[in-house]
Amino acid sequence: MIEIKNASKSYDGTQVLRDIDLSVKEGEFVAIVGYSGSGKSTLINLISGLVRPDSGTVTMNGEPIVEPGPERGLVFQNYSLLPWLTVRENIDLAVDEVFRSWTKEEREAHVTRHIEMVKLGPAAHKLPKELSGGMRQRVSVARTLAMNPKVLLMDEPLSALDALTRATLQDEIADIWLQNKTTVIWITNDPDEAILVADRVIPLLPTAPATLGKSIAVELERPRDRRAVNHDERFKALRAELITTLLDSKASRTSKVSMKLTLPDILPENVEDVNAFGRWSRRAPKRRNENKKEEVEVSV
Amino acid sequence: MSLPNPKMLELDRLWKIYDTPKGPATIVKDFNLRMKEGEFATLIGHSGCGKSTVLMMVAGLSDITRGNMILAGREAVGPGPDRGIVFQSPCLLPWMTAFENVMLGVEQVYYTASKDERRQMVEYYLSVVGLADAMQKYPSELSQGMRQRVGIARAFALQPKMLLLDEPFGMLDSLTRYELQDVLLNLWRKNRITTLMVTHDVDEAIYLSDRVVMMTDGPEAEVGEILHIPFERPRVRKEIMEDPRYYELREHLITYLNERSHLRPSRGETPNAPLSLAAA
Amino acid sequence: MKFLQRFKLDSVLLPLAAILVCCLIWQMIAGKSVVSTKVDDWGDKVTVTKRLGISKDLPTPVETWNASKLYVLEPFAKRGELDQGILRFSWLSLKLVAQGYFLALVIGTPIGFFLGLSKRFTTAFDPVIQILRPVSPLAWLPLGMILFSGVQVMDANGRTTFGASDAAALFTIAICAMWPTVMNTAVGVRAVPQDYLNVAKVLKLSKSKTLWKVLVPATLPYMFTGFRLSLGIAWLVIVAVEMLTGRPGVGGFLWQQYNANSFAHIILCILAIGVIGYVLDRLMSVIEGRFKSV
Repeated sequence: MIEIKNASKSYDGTQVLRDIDLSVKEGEFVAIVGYSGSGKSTLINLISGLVRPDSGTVTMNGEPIVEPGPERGLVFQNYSLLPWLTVRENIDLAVDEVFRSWTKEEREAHVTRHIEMVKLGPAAHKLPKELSGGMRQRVSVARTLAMNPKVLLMDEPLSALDALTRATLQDEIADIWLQNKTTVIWITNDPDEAILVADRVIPLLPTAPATLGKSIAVELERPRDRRAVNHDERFKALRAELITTLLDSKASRTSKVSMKLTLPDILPENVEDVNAFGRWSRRAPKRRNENKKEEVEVSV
Repeated sequence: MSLPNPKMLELDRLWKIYDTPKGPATIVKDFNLRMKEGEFATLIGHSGCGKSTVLMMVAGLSDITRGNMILAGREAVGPGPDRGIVFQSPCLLPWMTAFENVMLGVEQVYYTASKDERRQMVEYYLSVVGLADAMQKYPSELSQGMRQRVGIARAFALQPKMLLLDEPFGMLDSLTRYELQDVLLNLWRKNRITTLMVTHDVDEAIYLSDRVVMMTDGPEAEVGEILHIPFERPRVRKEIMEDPRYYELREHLITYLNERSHLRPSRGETPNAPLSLAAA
Repeated sequence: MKFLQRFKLDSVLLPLAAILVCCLIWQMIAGKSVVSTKVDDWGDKVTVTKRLGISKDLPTPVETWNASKLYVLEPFAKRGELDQGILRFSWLSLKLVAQGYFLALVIGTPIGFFLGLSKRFTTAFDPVIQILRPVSPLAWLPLGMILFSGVQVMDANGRTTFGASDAAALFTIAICAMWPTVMNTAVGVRAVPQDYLNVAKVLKLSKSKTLWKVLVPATLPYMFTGFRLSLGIAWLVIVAVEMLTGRPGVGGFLWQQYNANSFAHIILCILAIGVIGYVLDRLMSVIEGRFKSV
């Protein structure tokens, strides 16, 4: 459905992404895991059409993607809700825009259904500032889903939330996906999150420029219970594989220059002993033992 | 080296009571802990359970309402450079470069050393945390992870008697967090400073520490259970992740946090213990 | 590139257009001289100049330019005590402003620090400050005259180089311009994040080191906002002060020209005051921006 072939992208002469090949089937839930600042957002911008590749192609159902459109719904980390509109009005705004041909009642029912879906029924009339971060992100998800996108693009949707809310929302979004099976591309920096929500996890390796690693299929039954999977050998293996891949690739990127540094073998002074005279009659520093300096090799 | 001090830190029935308009609020109650020299202990508990308050009391940044704290045989009053702190946000001074930030403390503590030695000191610690080529950068030019590296270097450079880490990696994304945990362990292996860390991340607690102290939910938090982590040092993440004991320990901690952290004689139950904190 | 060009063009052309519009409105309002020739009762031919328009006595832009050419084209000429080039006048005013402003900073900054650091000091002095703050420069000047009436510094020739009116002027500028610095510094000191203070506490930095390495740098951005506002006020006050004391300077010149019914020169003075004020403000915000970006 979404197909990226050989895409590369540079900004100001630095290549950010290189040779990206990605194909996502309809109804698939794909997670892309990578370090912050390694080009994840560029990748999602390529798919959404906000950014065009320097070389290679990005297509959706065979058609090249040239600009953002309602068939690809984007959810950002920072909610992007209009602060002066209530939850319902925020969603209304998107629905009215996309489904102009519908009657008012149809649209209203559609909005209500999506508000219920993210369990925000009682808060529909509230302003974003009255909601917690997790609830705001729910509104954002509901708004995007209400536009009936063919693909849902999530750019680190939960990164700004605390661990507890994040976990709840991961489960909820996974549930919603189970119900309507939209294609989802989920960008995250959390390996656990990726394994818990997705069918397929692809590491974005922090080589410079970044490339996609080998995709890892997650064959855990849904719905996934985040505590039960702890005992699942497959989960443990996947987790270890994914984390090691990413950490190793980062480690291999950082050039290992070893250099000799001198660490003076001095012990700290007791600051309380400092007095006016201490400054003038300076004694020699306390040392651990008599060998004065220690040469240490450090990889940078 | 002399034998490690078996009683590097003794916390004896620490209480923290805040005066609020509604009357005194007990945050921490009867908190006891004894740490060996060179031990790495972690306080874990739900947010708001007072684990940071305990740490701040040890740091001297928060007054102890009742109880005693003895550090290396001496009663410690007020903050001081003998206890290095790494905060959740590294709080570097933004008008100083990474080098100057570390130097600020180094100058203070090694005032008897020569200028050259102090410079070597700072350069050494910044290089070990992987910032050899970023020493002259200002905090605003560094990523969150790099800033926290400076914070770690600053704390270690002072060779404190104790290291206090207050959710040091809480603001980082998980991958950067893994990296920094290794940076921390790497430094710690060279200089085993007695360390007390506060976190809510179960994996972090297991990977880094010798002992995990589980706290009951606040207010009136106290020590719930203590878990010994049996892994040999130096630790390799990959080996630990493949060790069957790792998932047992993880399960034990998660179960404690989800099901037992509210259990305590003095207070009623917390409804709906969240079922999902740990894996995130 | 294209964008940059358009941006530059816009940022130059649009303000120019606005200036032009203002000049046009000015031209419309201004009075125009109408010269007519008449034969008077004795049969002689007489030319009569009449001014017509919405504001009869307001000179048109061109008339203003013609009348002020001399002052603008020879900006540093000195023809007499109250007949000098416009930049020379401005320079005299600026010198006085600089002195008064300097005084304001030197007095205001420490007061701000005390206010920010000590709650008791704030509780004690806040009412006093709030009462003194809104007092107009026109009210301070007479008090200054009385306070410093004895001041007289003379040079070898027996001429007064620094008299009561100079002292009063400085006093007025300083006391009026001080408040933004005081208030902003106080706010800045209070806003120093506890984290930074914790760093100082943990390292047991000495008092002076805490002040210079932590408090002052952390407060600098606020202080500079205060400094900029203070400079603006100092420049406002100078005109009033010069008018009242009759010192040579832009304000003094303005008052003198008003008394001489020379309206073109008044406009010249107003423009000069505005332009210089604008330049000063820009300069300060450049410096301020430097400190804020760190």
